[in-house]
Amino acid sequence: MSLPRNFPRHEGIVLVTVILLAIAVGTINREFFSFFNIFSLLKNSTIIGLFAVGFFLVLVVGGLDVSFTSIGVVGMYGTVKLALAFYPGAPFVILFVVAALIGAALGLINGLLVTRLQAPSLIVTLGTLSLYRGFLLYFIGTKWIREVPTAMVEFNRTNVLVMTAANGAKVGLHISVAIFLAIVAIVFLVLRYTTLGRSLYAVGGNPVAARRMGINVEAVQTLAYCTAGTLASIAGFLSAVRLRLADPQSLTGSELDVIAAAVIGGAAITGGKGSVIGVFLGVLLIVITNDSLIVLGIPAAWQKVAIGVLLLVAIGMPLLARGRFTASQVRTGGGLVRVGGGST
Amino acid sequence: MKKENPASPTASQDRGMRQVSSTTSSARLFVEGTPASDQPLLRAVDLSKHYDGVTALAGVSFEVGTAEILALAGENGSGKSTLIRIIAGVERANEGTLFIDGADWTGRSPIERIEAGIQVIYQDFALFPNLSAGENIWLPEQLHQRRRLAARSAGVAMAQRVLSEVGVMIELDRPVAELPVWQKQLVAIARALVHDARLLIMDEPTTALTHREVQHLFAVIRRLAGRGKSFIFVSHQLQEIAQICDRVVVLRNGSKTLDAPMKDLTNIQIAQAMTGREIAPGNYRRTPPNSSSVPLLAVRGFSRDGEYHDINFTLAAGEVLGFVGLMGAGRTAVVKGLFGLPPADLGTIEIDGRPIVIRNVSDAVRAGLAYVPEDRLSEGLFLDFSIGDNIVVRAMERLVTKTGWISGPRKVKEAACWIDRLSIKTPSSRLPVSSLSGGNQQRVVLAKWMAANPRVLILNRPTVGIDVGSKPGIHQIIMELAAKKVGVIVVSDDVPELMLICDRVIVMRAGAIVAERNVSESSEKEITQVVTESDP
Repeated sequence: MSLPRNFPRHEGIVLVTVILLAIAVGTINREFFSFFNIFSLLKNSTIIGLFAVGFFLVLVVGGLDVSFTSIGVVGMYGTVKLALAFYPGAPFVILFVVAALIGAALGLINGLLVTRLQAPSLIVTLGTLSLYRGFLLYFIGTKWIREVPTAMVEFNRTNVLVMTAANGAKVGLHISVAIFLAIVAIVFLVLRYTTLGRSLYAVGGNPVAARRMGINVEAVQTLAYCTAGTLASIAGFLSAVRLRLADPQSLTGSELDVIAAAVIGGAAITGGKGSVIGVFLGVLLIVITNDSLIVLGIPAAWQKVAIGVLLLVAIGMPLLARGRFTASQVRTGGGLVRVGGGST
Repeated sequence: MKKENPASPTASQDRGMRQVSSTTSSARLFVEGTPASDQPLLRAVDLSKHYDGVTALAGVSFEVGTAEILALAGENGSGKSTLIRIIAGVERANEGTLFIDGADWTGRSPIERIEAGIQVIYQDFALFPNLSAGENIWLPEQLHQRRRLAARSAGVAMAQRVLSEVGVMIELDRPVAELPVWQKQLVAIARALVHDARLLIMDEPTTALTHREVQHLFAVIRRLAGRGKSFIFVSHQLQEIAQICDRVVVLRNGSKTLDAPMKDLTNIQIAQAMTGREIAPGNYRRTPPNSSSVPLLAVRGFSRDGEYHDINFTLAAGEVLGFVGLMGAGRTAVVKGLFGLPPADLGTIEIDGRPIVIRNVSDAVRAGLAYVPEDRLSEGLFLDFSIGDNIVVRAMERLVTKTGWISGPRKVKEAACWIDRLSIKTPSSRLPVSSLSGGNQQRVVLAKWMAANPRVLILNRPTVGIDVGSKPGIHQIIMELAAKKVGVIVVSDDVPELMLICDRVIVMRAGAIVAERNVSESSEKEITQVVTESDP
C-alpha cells in the first residue's frame, strides 16, 4: 500500500523503452550521447511535443481534437501577417502573446462547437481542421513570408544553456526547448495538484457523474479545447521562429507523430487517462526513433512502419495487462475474504 | 435495537456535525443524532407527479426518522424512481411538500438537498472509473469546498477515516474500474459520508451483488444506522427487506399501499401490497423426470485451470438442475465453459450419450445448448435493435422461406408470440430493446433463447432484478420448458427459488462440486448450510 503500486505503470514501461532505445542507438552510433545530439533531439521534440500536450488535454476530457496543425499554421501565419502589417518592430513577447491568443480563440470555437452541438469531437475538429486552413489560404494568404519580424530572428539566436562539446565546439540548447519544458511543467502541476486539473480527469471518466456533483462539464471541456488551441498556435509560431519563414502549407503530416506520442504515453482515446510525463516520454520515443533511423541510414519509409508498430504496441499493451489482471482476480477468488472482518 | 439514539457524541458525530460553509441554512444547524427537534429527518406530504396526463405518483406521504432504515418497495413502474428523483430534487413534484428537519425544502435545488445531507446512491454509483478509489471519495468534497489546490494526502486520510468508520478496507490507490462491484458501492457510500450525508437513499443496491456481498452490505448499513445515519432502501427483494429494514413503504401504481413497521408484517403481506393480488408461494410439483434412460447431457472430468476442476454431472431431459455457491465458487465459469466461453481445458461432454466437442459458442448452439447470461445488458442483447429482432435472432433458420429470404410476417408473428407468452410490457415489437425496463429486457433475452428451441437451456441468475409479481411467470416458463423435455440448468444464489423450481441442486465451492441433493429429499436450511459452510 505504500509506494509505487499506483505509480503510473505505463509511464514506467515507456521510460524503460526510451532508455533501452537510447542505449541501443548509442552503442551503434557514439555520437548519440553527445550534447549536440541530445540538444537537437530536444529541439526536434518541441513542436510535436506542444501539439501532443494540447492533444492530450482534450483526450483527458474525453474528446478528440485533430485540428491542431491548422490552428498552428493560422496562429503562425496570422501573427506574422499582423505584425508585418501593423507593428513590424514588435517585441517577441507581444508576438508570442498574439499567437497564443489566436490559438485560444480558435480552440474556443472548437470547444463551443463540440459542447453546444453535442456532436462527436472528431467530426467537429476534422471540420475545423479543413475550415481554418481553408480560411487562411483564401483570406489571409498563400505565399511564403521570408522577411519575418526581426524579433523572431533575434529570438531564434538565443540559447539558454551553452555547453562545450568534446571537440571544443560550443553547443547551445535552443530557447524553444525551455518554453516547451516550462509548459510541460505547468500542465503537469495543474493536472496533478489542482482541483481544476482533477476535474478534467473526472469529466473524462464520467461526465454524467461530474455534472451531478456540480462540475460545469461544458466549461471544463471548452477550457481543454481552448488550451489545446493555444498550445498548437504557440507550436506553429515557434516553428516559424526556427525556420525564419512563415509557410502556410507547413506543419501538415505531423498528425500521426503527435497522436502516436500521446497514445504511446498512456493517454486513452476513451478519455480520462494518462499523464503529461507519459506524453513527454512518448514524444521522446517518437523523435529518437525518427532521428536515429535517419542516422543509421534506414530508409524514411521505415520510419512510418516503426511509428505504426509503436502505436499498435502501445494500444495493445493495456489490453494485455488487463487480461492478466482478470485472470489473477479469478484465481484469488475475487478477494472477498479480505474485508469481512471489520463489519461484525 | 437499530433505532437507538446515540446519547453521547462520538468522534464520528463530531465530524458529522462539521458545518458546511457558505449556504448554511437553518435546517443545517440541526444537530445530528440529538433529539433537539421532534421533526423527522425527512417528511413527504401528498407528493404527486404527472407526466403528460399519466400519473406517476398520486399523493404519497411518508416519513423517515433519524437512524431509521426504511424499505421502499414496489414493482417496476410503481413510482419508486419518480419518488427518489423528487426527493433528490432532480424532478419537481406537481403537488405536495417535502420537509427536511421540519423545514419546507420543496423548492430547493439538488445541490442544496445534498448540503442538507440527503444523498442518493444510484444503481450505477456515478463513480469515476479512471480515478483511484481514494480520489473518488475526496475529490467531490474538495471541489465542493471550492479548493483550488487538491489536498491529496489530507483527502486520502479523510477517505481512510470514513472507511474505517464503515468498517471496511479498500485499496484506495486502485482505480475504481478495477474494483469489484461491491467495493465500488462502498466507495459510493464513503463518498456520501465524507459529504456529511445523513440520509442515504440506495436505489436497488443488491441487484448486482451475490448473497455474501449482500450480507456484507447489510452489516455496513446496520453499523451506520447505529451511528445515526438513516437509509431508504429501494428493493423488491422481500427477504432482504425483511432482513434489514425497520419499516416498509410499498408503492403500487403511484399510490402508497402499505406503510408499517417490519415486525408487524409478513413477506406475503408485502408481496400482496406490491402486486395487488395474492401471491401464493408457487408450487410446481410434477412427476420427476425419468432418470433411468441415457441422460440428455453428461459432463465428465470437466476442468479449467484456475477456475474449476473435475466437474461431473448429468442432466436428464425435462430435469431442472440448480447450481449454487458463493461468489468465486466457479458456478458461472462451469456453465459458461459448457457454452465455450471459454471452453474447458479437460473433460468430455455427451449429449444423448454421443460425445461432442465444444470449442466456441457456435459449437454449443449447434449442439442444442442455450445460455442466458447473468448480465443481460452487456452479454445478451443488441440494445439498439428492435425487440422483435432480438427475439428472433437465434431462430432465423425456422423463419427463412424456401427462397432463402427471411419472412417478415413470420418474424413479426414469432416475436408477438413470445412477447405475449413472457408478458413483455411494450407497445410494439419494433421499439428498441433499450426502451424497456431491466426486468423486461431480461425477458427478451429469455425469449431469444427459447425461440431457438434449445435442448439444454442454461439460465444464470434468471430472476435477479425482476419483480416479485413477475417471478412466478419466469418460473412457470421454466416449468413449461421442462415439461417439453428441455433440460434446464439454473445458476442462482437464491436457495428458496432453487428449492421451488429444481429437481436437483449441485453446490459448488472453490471450483469443485461439494454436494448434490435431490430437492424432494432435503430442506432449504440444509442446502443453505452447505453453501455457507466454510470459506473457500
